[in-house]
Amino acid sequence: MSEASSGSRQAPGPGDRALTRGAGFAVLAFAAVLWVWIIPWQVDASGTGWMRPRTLPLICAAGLGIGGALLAVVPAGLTDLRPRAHLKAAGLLVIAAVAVWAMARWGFLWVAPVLAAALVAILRERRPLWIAATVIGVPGAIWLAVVELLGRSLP
Amino acid sequence: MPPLDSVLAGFADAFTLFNLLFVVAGVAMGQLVGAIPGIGPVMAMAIAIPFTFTLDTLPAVSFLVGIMKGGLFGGAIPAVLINTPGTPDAAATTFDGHPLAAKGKPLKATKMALYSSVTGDAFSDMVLILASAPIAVIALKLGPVEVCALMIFAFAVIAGLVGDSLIKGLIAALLGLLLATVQLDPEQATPRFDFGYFQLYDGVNLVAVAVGMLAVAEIVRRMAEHDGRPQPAAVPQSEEPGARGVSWREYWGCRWTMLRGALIGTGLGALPGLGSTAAAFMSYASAKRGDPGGVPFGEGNLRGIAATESANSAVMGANLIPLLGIGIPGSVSAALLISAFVIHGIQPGPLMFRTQPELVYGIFGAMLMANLCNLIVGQLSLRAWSAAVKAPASFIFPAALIFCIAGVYLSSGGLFGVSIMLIAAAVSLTLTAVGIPVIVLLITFFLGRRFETSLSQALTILDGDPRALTAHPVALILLVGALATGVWMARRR
Repeated sequence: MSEASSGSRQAPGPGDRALTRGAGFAVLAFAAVLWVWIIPWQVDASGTGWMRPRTLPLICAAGLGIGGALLAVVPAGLTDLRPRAHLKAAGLLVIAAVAVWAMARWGFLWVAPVLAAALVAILRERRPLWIAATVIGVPGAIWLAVVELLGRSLP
Repeated sequence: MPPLDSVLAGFADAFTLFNLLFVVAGVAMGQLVGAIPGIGPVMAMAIAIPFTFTLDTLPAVSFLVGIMKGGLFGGAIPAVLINTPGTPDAAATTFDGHPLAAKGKPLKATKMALYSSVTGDAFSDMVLILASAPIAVIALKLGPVEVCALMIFAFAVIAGLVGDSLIKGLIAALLGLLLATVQLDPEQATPRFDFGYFQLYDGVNLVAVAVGMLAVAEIVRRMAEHDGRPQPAAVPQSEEPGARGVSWREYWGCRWTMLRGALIGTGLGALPGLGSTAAAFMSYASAKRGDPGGVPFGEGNLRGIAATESANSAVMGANLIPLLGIGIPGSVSAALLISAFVIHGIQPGPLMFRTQPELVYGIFGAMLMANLCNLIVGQLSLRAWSAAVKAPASFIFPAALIFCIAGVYLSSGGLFGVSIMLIAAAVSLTLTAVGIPVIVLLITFFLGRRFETSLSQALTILDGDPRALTAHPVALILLVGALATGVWMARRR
């Protein structure tokens, strides 16, 4: 809610309309890039019959273009943007992405406890029992279940 | 209708000790995650799906069905105890559940929620068992043109009903279809949108996208909004007589309320796009209107609890009617079941009644068993789940995220799938921020490949001439219906 909106509101406010309009332009731009650049680059133009490889992607691009334009002109509906929370969520996803990259190099068993410790610290947990349960217990339980019980490997 | 021996064989497959164990485990897990505010059965299903692919199809689906059913009741526990619904569909349960608990009767309130949840669920399961086979018979008579028109109609209804803007719904539907085109073209087998990654030749991994959009996005959103405050304390239990349980007289006194709730839940659940939250609120409003007197609604009326819980639980069984009857999921949990089926190489839909009737009736048997287990596990474990309400966010969310990483790694066979999961989570957060419904995207993504194939077949049959649709009146009616739905939704808003 663009600090602008909340789940309980029924009617969109000016913040919602501005954000929706921006989203409409973004969808329109995406559709244009899709039509002009991505589809010709990534989808084969060959083929016969009514449905060629490009047919459905082009239909989607056209539909998205029309939808985006309509949204930009007639911004309707509520939004749910909370800048601080969304920035923090993006930061958490970056941490998870770094952990996934690290798992490829050093393995799940070493990286998962570090990831858990980082998240526990971000959530400001100070009780030793809960910290131990999250940092050691959870990765350990997953390792036991996957490697020992299911006989599968982890990264 | 499938032959009777297949029906009996299916039920026999379900009623085995091995399968019962998975149902009990699923129900217990569902009740536990439902009781923990912030997790919920949909997220739990998304996390559990990758772990089920080592199982046979029936135990895997039974486990997931157990999670869903257990979670529907589990959400009522924190709603009653701490006035915080564990799942969105239990929001209306707080209206009378928490006031009753505040009077020193939390056990009575949670037990009423349990009994009415099981009653509503059992009703909708019976409707599912009786209705889906005849619907499947009709669906199997539809040709590619009709199937394509039916999918367009379903997309229009889902895009119109989910969220608060038809345009945003349609954008979500198109994004889902576009995502489904990332794979080898079904006709020419040429790669599309692979960007040099051979892993995309088979398409974007269903489970990675579902877990990313539903579970990981919700986990990071909850972590980002967490303010470090502990959960509020649960209300204490009074020792006065009648405060701990629900008598037969009290249960029977709510029978019409529960029946009405079950009817509302089943009706709404059978329609794609309408969820259990809408059913619970509608049932509550209906029960309030027909209140015969006694304890006022909002002050701990048992009928208020019965109305909401019977309705939201009845949605689950009914959600499977469109999935099994016509192959279109009615909700996100039904859509998640598609990915479970796909992992096991099964295309859910009406053809299952012809090709795998034992499995279909095995699932029905597992659903009935899950109902009974819900009642027994709920009765025995209420105190344990009440303690789970107090589990801190600092444990729940990091644990859930690590489970997601491990689960998607297992199901997608590598860290590429985990990367897709994180990208899907980022996309989900962005779309949700601007009000574009992710659920619509997921449902059309799950159905995308089938839609492209049926569109291709339909265009070949019609030879690309729209006038040829006059020879397919059912398809024409469905397409007009889709258009009318769009116009109606647009005018309504």
